[in-house]
Amino acid sequence: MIYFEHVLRQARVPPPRLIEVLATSAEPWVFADLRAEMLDLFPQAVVRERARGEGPAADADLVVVPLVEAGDFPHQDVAYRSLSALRALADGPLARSRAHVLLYRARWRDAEVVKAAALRGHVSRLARERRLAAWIERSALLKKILKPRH
Amino acid sequence: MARLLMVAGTQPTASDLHLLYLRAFEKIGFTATLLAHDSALPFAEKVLQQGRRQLSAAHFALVNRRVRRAAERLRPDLLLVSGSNWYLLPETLRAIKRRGCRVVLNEQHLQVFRPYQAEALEIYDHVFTQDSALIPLVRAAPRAPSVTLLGPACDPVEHRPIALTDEERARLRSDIACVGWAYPNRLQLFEGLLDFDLRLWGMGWDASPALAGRFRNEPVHGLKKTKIYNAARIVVNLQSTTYQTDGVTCRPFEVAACGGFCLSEPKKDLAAFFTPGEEMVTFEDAADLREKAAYYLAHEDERRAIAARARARALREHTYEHRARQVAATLGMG
Repeated sequence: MIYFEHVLRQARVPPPRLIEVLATSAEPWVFADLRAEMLDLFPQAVVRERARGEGPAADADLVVVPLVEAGDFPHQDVAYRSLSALRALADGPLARSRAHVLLYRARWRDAEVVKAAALRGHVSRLARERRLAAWIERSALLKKILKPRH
Repeated sequence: MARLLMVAGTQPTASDLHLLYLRAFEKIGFTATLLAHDSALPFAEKVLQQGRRQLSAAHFALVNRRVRRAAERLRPDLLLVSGSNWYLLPETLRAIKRRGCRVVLNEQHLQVFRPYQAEALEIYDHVFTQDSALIPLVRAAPRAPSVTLLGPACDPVEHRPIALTDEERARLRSDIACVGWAYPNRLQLFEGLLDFDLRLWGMGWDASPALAGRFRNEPVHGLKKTKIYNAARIVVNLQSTTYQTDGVTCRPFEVAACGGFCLSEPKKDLAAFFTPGEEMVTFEDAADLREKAAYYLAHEDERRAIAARARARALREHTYEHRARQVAATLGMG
């Protein structure tokens, strides 16, 4: 509905014909919820689940990667815990496709869209974020400098 | 065509209300842009957020710089700070206002008491509040801006009756439902309703062992929430004690637009939007909720008639488009 519509519109994603949701967990609600949302937005699209370990089909227009861990919101981007899986995805055939990838932090309804060809760079950015955020949290000096404004 | 720049948060609350406002402003002819202060962040802001330093002066400076740059680029006619002013400093608001842009606050969480929030009050061209309790407080501020009540709303596309499949009905239905955070007052209330067919949705319900089996540890947003409102016979509205005093949230409006029946705590502002007893039923305390829930579960026709009247009123007067038009008319931009 409005959230996915907004995120996909911001990323200028054209209406997809084939949407694949990667099975990243055994939680039954993940695919059911995403399928319903996607079909509500794109009634003409085919939405199917891709089994764990299988890469998305070459002709998928939109690949949804659900990240279903809870995390310590908003301070632990759950994508940081899936960097190796995301790297593997970025290193596979997906990177040569014209698909868009929707990284969906499911428990916190937070999504971002990346072109498949740019996924590798995006994963590197997430890794840099994680390293720097951990450094900021550990450093006593930075803690003092970056103390709360109020 | 007037240009709107809305500054708001999009991280999950019970409703996507800022996005729904954005759509409504577009519908009435604005060119609308959202700048989120909490998601899709530039690298440095994200690092500070993830490093638990999002309240640092450095993070404030980055957010304010981003807003000023967006205002320079987009040249908005209206800057709408929606939800609450979590980040914008008075100097940022003054700089944008000097460019000829109207600067308006749409306050929904009673957050005007931090020094920068209070100082900003005199800068706004107008303050809209979702809670009438805030009106005298804003008026008491030095060089107080004009302030009016802007009610919560629904979106007829987002919140609508849906024909559920058998599978959906089996998965989502209940006699009594609540969607939202497990605030302490909610935990306490629902622990007293265990003899009902009760289903709780949202986060944090596992804090109460007594409620085990009554909630599912799965997120509820968007379409799923609409389907739950369609599937429940009664949706209970009990609000946070932190973010509202007399005000009401969008829940009763969304439930009404879905054709559902909402049993709400009796917030003072609710009566300004729905006729008590005819369009919306309220409960005084846990005992009253039990009694009324049992009554309306047993009186299907009466419950459906109230829900139908609430839906008609919500669509007639309480959509985001109505609210966007009210904002535009108040500012002379309609």
